[in-house]
Amino acid sequence: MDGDFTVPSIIQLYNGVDPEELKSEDLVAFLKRYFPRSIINLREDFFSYWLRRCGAKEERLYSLAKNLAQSKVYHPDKKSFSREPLPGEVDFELKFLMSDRIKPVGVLYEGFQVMVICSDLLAPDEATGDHCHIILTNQLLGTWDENYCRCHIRVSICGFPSTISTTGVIEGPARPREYYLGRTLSANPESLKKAFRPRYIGYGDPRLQEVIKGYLLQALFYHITGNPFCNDKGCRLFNAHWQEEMIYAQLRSGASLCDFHRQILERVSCKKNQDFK
Amino acid sequence: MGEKIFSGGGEKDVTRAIISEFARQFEEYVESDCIIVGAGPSGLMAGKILCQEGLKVFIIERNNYLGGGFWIGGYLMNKVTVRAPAQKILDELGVPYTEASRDLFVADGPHACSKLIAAACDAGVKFANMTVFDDLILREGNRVAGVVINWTPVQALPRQITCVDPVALETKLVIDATGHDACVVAKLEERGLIKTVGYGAMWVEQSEDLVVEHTGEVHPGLVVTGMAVSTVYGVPRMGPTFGAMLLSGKKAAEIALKILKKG
Repeated sequence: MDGDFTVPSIIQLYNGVDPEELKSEDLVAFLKRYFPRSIINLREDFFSYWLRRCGAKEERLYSLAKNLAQSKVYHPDKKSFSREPLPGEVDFELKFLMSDRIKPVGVLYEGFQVMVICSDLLAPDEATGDHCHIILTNQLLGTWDENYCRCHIRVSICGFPSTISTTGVIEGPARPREYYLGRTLSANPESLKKAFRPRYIGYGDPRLQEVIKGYLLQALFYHITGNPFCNDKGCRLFNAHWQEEMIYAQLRSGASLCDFHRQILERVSCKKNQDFK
Repeated sequence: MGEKIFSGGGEKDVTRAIISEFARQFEEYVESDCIIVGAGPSGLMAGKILCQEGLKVFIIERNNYLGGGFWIGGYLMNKVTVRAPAQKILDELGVPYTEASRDLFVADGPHACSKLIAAACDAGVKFANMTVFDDLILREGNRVAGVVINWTPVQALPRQITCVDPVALETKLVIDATGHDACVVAKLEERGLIKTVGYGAMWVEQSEDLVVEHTGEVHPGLVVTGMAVSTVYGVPRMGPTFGAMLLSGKKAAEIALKILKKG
């Protein structure tokens, strides 16, 4: 990988996830270890922060709510399906934009549309390459997959800003094949959960915290190099499609960046590699 | 010969009693504050609360029995589950339950359902069972102003045999509590007044919150509650758990009260 890469001076981390689910301070400390020269700002939920900062008027709030409602994926097997959202759908978005309550999960949003909506909210002074904005959300994001002709749930959508979904970690990468086989054969869901729990990340799983760190690195590498992923299954930048791959890349003992990516980080950070473990 | 147990009164008296009482109630409810279509758990819950607030509520049910799917928990097994905080409603209704796992409660379907029906009746809800919703009455600005109904058997038979015109009931507000069919909303859709997307796949852990959060007025004069919400907004279906049905019904009643107070 060639080129002059620049580490962002400021990393803006937005945590819109229940604090019980993700410990923000720990994530900041992790980023600090990898990007010691960057200022890392921990902010509240992305929409709360920017709506408060720009003092959003009723009209803008409504238009934002409408755009969010319009970015819902209604049919995962249809590439493009758009319709005028129902007033109730707009009200639903509006209600959560206007409050501090964490939005319930279950609606699938088109990841790139949401990215554009978020990008439009950024103030010009922060809409520069010197800022890397990373949004942590519990909402489900998906993108269309040309190979499978359906919308797939994603853990992260890299862009400006990048978004990482905690529910995406759970629902995105596939669980072990035997798990689905057991489901098909109507095995008791609780026994299935128990039997396969070590092999996938579920709701309320404390391992989520560590997994998210790898996706933070992916968002940063996207910002720095334009490519968030690595083909090495042992690198934290590996784009896992299976839960077991994700657990291997992110949670095995000594999980870290591969040599290639570690060197890039050393070059851009002027730091020795032991810090990047 | 011993004394008779029951008092006198011939067949004609029984028939007259049925006709006159039915006619009296039916005539009274030709005009009401709220008509709820569907007597499942969300419809019953909404009706009970609205009546407790002093409103005149009429529930239309296409089956002979009331209660919808609340008798059976799922897969023909008559245990119903609710997740916290919906057990508080079971407490209010006086339905016994046990905690199956943390914050998941299980009750006897027949007990829970019969208590809810009784609570709705005690509150003053009146019912038209074996009555099928046929169409809507629309007024200025396409505001929903009532429902067109017919007997269920009439609709079940071929039209050439049962060419029976329906009748209409006027009301200030209609609540669609018809479950996944969302029959009332579907009539608006037929006229191009709304576009629904159909319910999503089952996702018990997440769908209940979404159903309650989306419960509300979907068109002027029409509130949607229960699983009809899932159909209208394309949120995941929830499977055999009923907490959201009860809380969605409660929320529908609260919204209905606000709308009626404004109107």
